[in-house]
Amino acid sequence: MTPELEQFLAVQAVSLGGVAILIGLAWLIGFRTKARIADEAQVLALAQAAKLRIPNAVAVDVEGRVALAEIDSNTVFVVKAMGDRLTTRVFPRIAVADIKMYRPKGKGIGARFRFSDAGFDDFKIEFAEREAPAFIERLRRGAKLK
Amino acid sequence: MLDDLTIPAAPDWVPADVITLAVPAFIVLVILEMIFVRLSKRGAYNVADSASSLMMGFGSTIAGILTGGLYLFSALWLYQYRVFDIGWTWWGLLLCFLAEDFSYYVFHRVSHERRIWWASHIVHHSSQHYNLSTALRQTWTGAIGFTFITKLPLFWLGFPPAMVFFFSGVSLVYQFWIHTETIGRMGPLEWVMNTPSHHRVHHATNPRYLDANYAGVLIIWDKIFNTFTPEVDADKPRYGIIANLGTFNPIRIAFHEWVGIARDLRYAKSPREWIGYIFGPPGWSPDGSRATSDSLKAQWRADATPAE
Repeated sequence: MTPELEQFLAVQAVSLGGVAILIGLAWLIGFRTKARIADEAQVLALAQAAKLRIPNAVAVDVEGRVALAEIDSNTVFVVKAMGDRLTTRVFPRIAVADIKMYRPKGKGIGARFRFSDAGFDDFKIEFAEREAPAFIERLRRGAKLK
Repeated sequence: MLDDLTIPAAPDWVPADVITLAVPAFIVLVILEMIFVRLSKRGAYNVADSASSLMMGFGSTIAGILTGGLYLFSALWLYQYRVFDIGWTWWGLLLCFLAEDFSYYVFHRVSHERRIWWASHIVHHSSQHYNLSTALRQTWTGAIGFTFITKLPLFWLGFPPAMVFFFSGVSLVYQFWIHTETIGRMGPLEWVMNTPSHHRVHHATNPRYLDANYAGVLIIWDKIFNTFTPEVDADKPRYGIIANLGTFNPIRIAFHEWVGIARDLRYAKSPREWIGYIFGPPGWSPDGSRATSDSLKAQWRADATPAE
């Protein structure tokens, strides 16, 4: 190993150590707040703030981690908790790459969404009811047809 | 070409690594800001957001080393054909500082106004927080767009490469501390310097603030080229990007816009569309259906103007 490489690796190790310290400190200090979507009314208010028309239908995750709203037959509004913030996005229906339905432990039904946008992780939305809202089923059929 | 390269004598090309020297200060200042934010409730941190910002910063140092060779080679090659022998004089230092700061303004403006450069710079704007850890959220893909070309004229003019690298480092170190909500306005400094207030505007997605305040150290360039927008107390900055990310994954953060470009090009129907998707403003689309900064600002102005 050359001295230059040794020095490079040492600097990277120190940097990585600094990163670990800062992340640990942020956690210890208590910057761990998680945003949650309270109810449909909050989703409607966010849609209004995004200058969207009143959604046809809204579905909120049972734990408030994510919400979906059907704006029209070609547009989906997504609200997602990201740390202590809520991220809102408007997607064309064709951006819904895949939806897989599943049964979570206990009651209810869940849907795992995948969007074609690389900047948006897959997410799960779960409902207390046995059936998912009708518009999610419509989205699922549309995604399957692609 | 490598055989033709004449390496200038030190100190013309031996770079002082200002950024590496500043890393301990960065760490201490982030810790102090976290404690201040916790005690004062001024500003905000989130552990997941800061973790992804810090990992982007760490990754950018690796990417910079892997790709920095091309920049260094270009600088040294052009310096062989320099027009002037400026050397390490006091006026050379002053001119170099101004020229480097102006070249940063040009680079930064282009990075916002053309998608191929925005694809790497978007990383820095992708946090919905604005704190010192956001300053470290840096791109891994800067070399893909050859963004360093805005600095190359400086070497050709005759500024010693080490001098340019030094002021580039100083500029980046200067820009670290202005990523904070804990400092308000700074009196007369606001007239000349880039400050936390000016840079909050730059990171904001409110239509009023879009595509403004590209300065590195001196805000004068924005004032000269009419891209300056002051912070307005009644319109608190909302940070992030127009289409905020739904991920903290550093790989996705680093490459998502490049993937978006590739997808658009896959479905492009003509050379015009290819050019538009690559060199058009972020949000450009053939039918104008996507939002650009200009369309959002126009909509905002229309909404603000009472109907006649």
